[in-house]
This record gives sequence, structure tokens and C-alpha cells, in this order.
Amino acid sequence: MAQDGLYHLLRPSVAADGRSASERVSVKRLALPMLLTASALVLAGCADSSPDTDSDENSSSGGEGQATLEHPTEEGLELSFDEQPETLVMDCYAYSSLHEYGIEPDALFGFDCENPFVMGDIDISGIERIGQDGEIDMEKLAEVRPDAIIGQGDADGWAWFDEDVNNQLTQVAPFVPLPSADTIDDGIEATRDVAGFFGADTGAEDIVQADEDYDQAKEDLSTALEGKDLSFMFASPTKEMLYTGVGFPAADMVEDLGATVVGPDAPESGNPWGDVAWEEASSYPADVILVEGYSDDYDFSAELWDSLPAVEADQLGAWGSKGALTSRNYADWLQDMVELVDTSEKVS
Amino acid sequence: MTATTPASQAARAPSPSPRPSRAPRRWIGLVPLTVLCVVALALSMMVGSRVIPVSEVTQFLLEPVPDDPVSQVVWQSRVPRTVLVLLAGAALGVAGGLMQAVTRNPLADPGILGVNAGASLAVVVGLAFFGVTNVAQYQWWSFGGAMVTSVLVFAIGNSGAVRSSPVRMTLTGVALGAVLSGFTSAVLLSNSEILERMRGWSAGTTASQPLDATLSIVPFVVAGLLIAVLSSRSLDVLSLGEASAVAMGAHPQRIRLVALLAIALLAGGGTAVAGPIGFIGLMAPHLARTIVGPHQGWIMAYSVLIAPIVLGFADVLGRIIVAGEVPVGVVTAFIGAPVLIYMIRRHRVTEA
Repeated sequence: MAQDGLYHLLRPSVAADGRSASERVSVKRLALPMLLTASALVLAGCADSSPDTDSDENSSSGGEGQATLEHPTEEGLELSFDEQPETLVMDCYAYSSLHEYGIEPDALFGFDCENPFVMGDIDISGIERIGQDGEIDMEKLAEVRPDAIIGQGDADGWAWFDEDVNNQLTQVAPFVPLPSADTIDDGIEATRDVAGFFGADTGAEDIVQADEDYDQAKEDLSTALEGKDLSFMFASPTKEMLYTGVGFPAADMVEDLGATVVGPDAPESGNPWGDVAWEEASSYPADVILVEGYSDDYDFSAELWDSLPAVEADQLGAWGSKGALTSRNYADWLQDMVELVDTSEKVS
Repeated sequence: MTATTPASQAARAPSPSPRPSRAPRRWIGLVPLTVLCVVALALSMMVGSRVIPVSEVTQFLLEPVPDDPVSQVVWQSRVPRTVLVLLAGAALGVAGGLMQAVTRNPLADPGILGVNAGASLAVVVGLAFFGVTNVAQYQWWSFGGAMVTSVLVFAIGNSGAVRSSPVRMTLTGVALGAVLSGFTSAVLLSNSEILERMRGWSAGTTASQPLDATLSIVPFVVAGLLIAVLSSRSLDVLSLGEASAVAMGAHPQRIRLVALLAIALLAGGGTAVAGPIGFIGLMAPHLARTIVGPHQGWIMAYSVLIAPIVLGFADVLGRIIVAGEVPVGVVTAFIGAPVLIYMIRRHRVTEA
């Protein structure tokens, strides 16, 4: 299963279980019309665009216009297309990553489409929305007649749809899971491979510049951390509990650059978030807390949160377990981290 | 041979001794419950996710040190949670008993009259449309929602040709609750951010509730308890049936209105601070009725103790059962459902 997809699927601050269940119920109610629509589409002549059609292994393009995507992170997944896919439907996580490469969707669905931390300054107002959060309108999807659907998930389909809905989805068009990897670098590279398959010029000047900025930002952060002895907590606070992100790729990257990341170890399986009861929050001494989706108007408040030294010292920054997996995005984030490190002191 | 008539037999028979009053036994029964309640509250103070020696808890309880992390845990977590357990437990327990009496439905709890649904919708509306963000603000929206829903249920349930019917009021509550829940779901399904914020509160939790915010519901809970106590005799009369109550000079509709006011104050207050915790309002009065019989005053007195006991033990269990915590509302559901099934199987579920 795609790791990032799993992260979001189980992500505590996104109400993974409760939302999935309710959304699935609502989606299931649409199952019959969806099935009929999808069946009609298949009968109308789209069956030959099934991912099960002949593929040309180990190549990104086959004979007579055929194109095959050998997925960079889903082992053994190959997706064959009769011709280079042009009409694309994406979830907003996919668009946030592929936008930088100039890959544009014909329609969008999914979570966090209005979340600036995920979408940055991408303007999606002119793009058709065929679904919101965990729901998708299969009729509208069929009307778009996409060549491919790209989003968080795995070979079986989108991470937040159940098997039935994913079966219908993949009847309309092949599903291309957004790559996931254990490290940010690998994730960026794999995402670039997918972007390249869909026609991006991955050697464009701005991409090269973004890579240089990303490398420079890593160096800058590493330098800034030297001698500071700061400890960082990757967190997502909620009323009932504090969730921590030890073991997330972003946390691992910062740790590799010289930071100390505190929090309970990531669970060996299942939900990757660490669960910390509020009573135990101060047991993990953090000088800087990186809050998922943090912004200037962030206003979470709870007494034991407000009492944490990093919160009292206002040494808070942002991080995201999702969002654009591009060198530009991480270059900017790391530079923000450099500023945060420069202005932070040991308080724990 | 001397014939004797039944009348003469009765005349010669020793006069039956007067039936012993159950009141002394009921008073005595309060003693172990009080002790258990104190134990539950003490455990709530001493046991938590973070292991703190009893001596340290006691020390910081008597001499708070604002900058000390352990003192912060004691005063910002253990104390507020313990007070909340006591207040919310007592409020929800008595509210459940009142609901069972008013609706004459042994399965009534704060959910059946739509109170929880109204409270939840109000919180969702506050979050989605009025910029409510602070945890402490939730409670006033919740309280308002519970109050408005209670008034609506009473107004609708007592309008039309067939008034003063407990069945009608129950159906009104169930129907209105379904409608309000539908609105809540509609908002939540279209806004994942609100769903995320609602998650903790809607599960029913004692975590992160500031002490001053909890204490702010004290006047409402006290008022609700007073009204409940004062209306207990009237509710006993009402339990004899509508016709009997009228024949005895009671005004069923007026009794229900007063009881509904108490329910709104108690359930609204309890739900406001702890979220819609299930089963407490159902279980506590049932257990109380099993012990003391169908006497509303005693049911209230026992419920005031039983509910915090159950809530206290459930909350402590939720703190230690897993890394992190399990919300108390989840634990009470796990405890409450088997208890309810057991009661049904033992035929102890009787009419209120």
C-alpha cells in the first residue's frame, strides 16, 4: 500500500476511521447509479482502455502510440495506455505535486483542495470539481472521459474508496497512484518520474533551479542546526490527544540534517502517528514544535499545550504529512525551518 | 364442631405487623455508594497516562508549582477531569432518570429526546459558520443546542389534538434527533476540517477541558438538580399513569414541562463539558431503580452517585488501557452495552 496514502488514511487529525466510514456509506448509496454509469461507459467503447490491455514492458512508450507506465514505487505495477494519456483527473494531492511540472487536470476531487498548506497558491477555481473530500460523482467522472486518474492510493485504487467504488473508478480509466517513498528525496524523484510520463519537461530550468535550491536549503538547515542542540517535535494537537510524527519522511529528513526529533517511536504497523496523552506531552522535551498545517492564525488552545515550553516561547513552525512532493516545496519549507532555527533557543 | 367464618378467623388472627419501611435501607445503601464515588474520584486524581506517585500528586495538590510539569499535569488535567467526572456524571445520571420518568420509557437517555443531537448540531454550526475555534467555546454552543432542542421537543410533542402523551414526546424527540443528526452529517461530510475538530468532542472526552470552563456549568447543574428533586413526588404520581395522575389532581403537562427544564439544564450542562457521552444516562438510573425501586427521589439520589462512579472508573480505564488515551465516551459504550444486555436478559428492565 502506498505509504503516503496510508499516512492520510490513518491520519488522526483527519478523522481517518470515522470519516472513511461515513463517506463510504454515502458513496455506497451512489453505488447503483455509479455502476450503471460505469457499465454504460464501458459498453460505449471504453473497455479497450482498461489497464489490463497489452503492455510494453520496461518502456514508457510502445508501438503505434502505446504508452506504458512502470510505476516507480508500486512494485510490479505497470499501466498500459493505447496512447499517451492527455485527459487527466486528479485528486488535489496529486495536483499539488504535479502542478510544478505543468501537468494540469481536467477535473479534480479529493481532500484538502482548499487547504493552502497543501495547495500553496495554486488557483483551482477554473478546474471542474467532480468530488469533494471522500466523495466522487461517477457520472461527472464518466462525462470527463479521462485517460487516467491520478491520486493517493495504490494499485487497487484511491486510498479512501472502498473496493466496490474503486472497481467502478478503474472501469472508467486506469488509476495511477501517486508515488510514495520512505524518504523525501526518493518521493520527489518518483513523483518526477510520473510527471515525466505524463509529458512534463523534468529538465526545465525552473525544475533544475528548484533542485539546486532544495540542496542549498538542506545545507543551510544543517549549518543552522550546528551547535544549537535544539529538539523538534512533529505534532498534530487535538482536544483529546497529541499526535506526533516520529518516522515520517519529513521528520527523518530533518533528523538526518542534524536535528533531534522527539516523541514516541512510530508504531511498527498500522497508524504511523504516535499517540501521546496530554499528561505525557511534557515528557518529550521539545524546543521547537512543528505543527501540521500551522499558519499565522493558528489558534489551537489547551492548557497542557499552552504550558509546553516551545508553545510558551512561540517557537512553532509548520510541517505537513501531505502536500506537494516537489523540490520547490521542500526547498521553501526547509528555508522556513532555517529561519525558525535561527530565531529559536533552547527552552526545554 | 365449631364452624368458623372467614370473618371470625380474620378477627382472631394476629394483626399483621406493619410493612417495614425501606427508607432506612435506602439511606444505608447510600453509604457504600458514597465510598465508591470517593474511591472513583480519588483514582481519577491519582491514576493517569503519566505515572505520578501519590505523594507527589498530593503535594502538588496542596502546593501548586505553576512552572513544574507534574504540577501542571495535576492542576491542568487531573483536577479538571475529576471535577468534570463528578459534575457531568451526576448531571447525566439524573437527566437520564428524569427522561425515563417523563417518557415512561426504560430505554430513554439524553439521546432519545434529541438533546445530544441538538448539542452536536449547535457545536457544528458554531464551528462551521461562526468561527468557533476554542475548545472552551464549544460548551456554550452545546448548551444552547440542548436547551433549544428540549424546548422544541416539548412544544411539538404537546401540540395538536393528542397532547400530554409520553409516546408522542418520545417520537418527537427521536424524529427531531434524526433530523438534527442529518443536518450535522451534511455539514461534516462537506467539511473535513470541521469533522476533524468535532472528532474529540463528539466521542465524549474529559481531556483538555479547562477547570474554569467546567465550573461555569455548576449553576445550571445545581438548578437542574434542585428542580429534579422538587419534582420527584410529582413524577411518582405521573408514573401511575396519565388518568390516575389527573384524578389525583396533578397536571401531567405541567410536570413534564418542569421536568424537561431540568433535563435541559442537566443534560445540556453535562453534554456541554464532556460531549455526548452515551449510556451513563441509561445505566445509572436503571441500576438505581434496581436497588431502590420505582421511587423517583431515591432513583435521583442513587443516580447522582452511581453515574460519577461509572464515569470515573471508565475515564481512568480509558487513560491507561492503551498508549495515548481512549475517550471516556468509548469506554462507557463498551461497559454500557454489555450491562444493558445483561439487564434485559435478567428481565430487570422495567417501566420507569
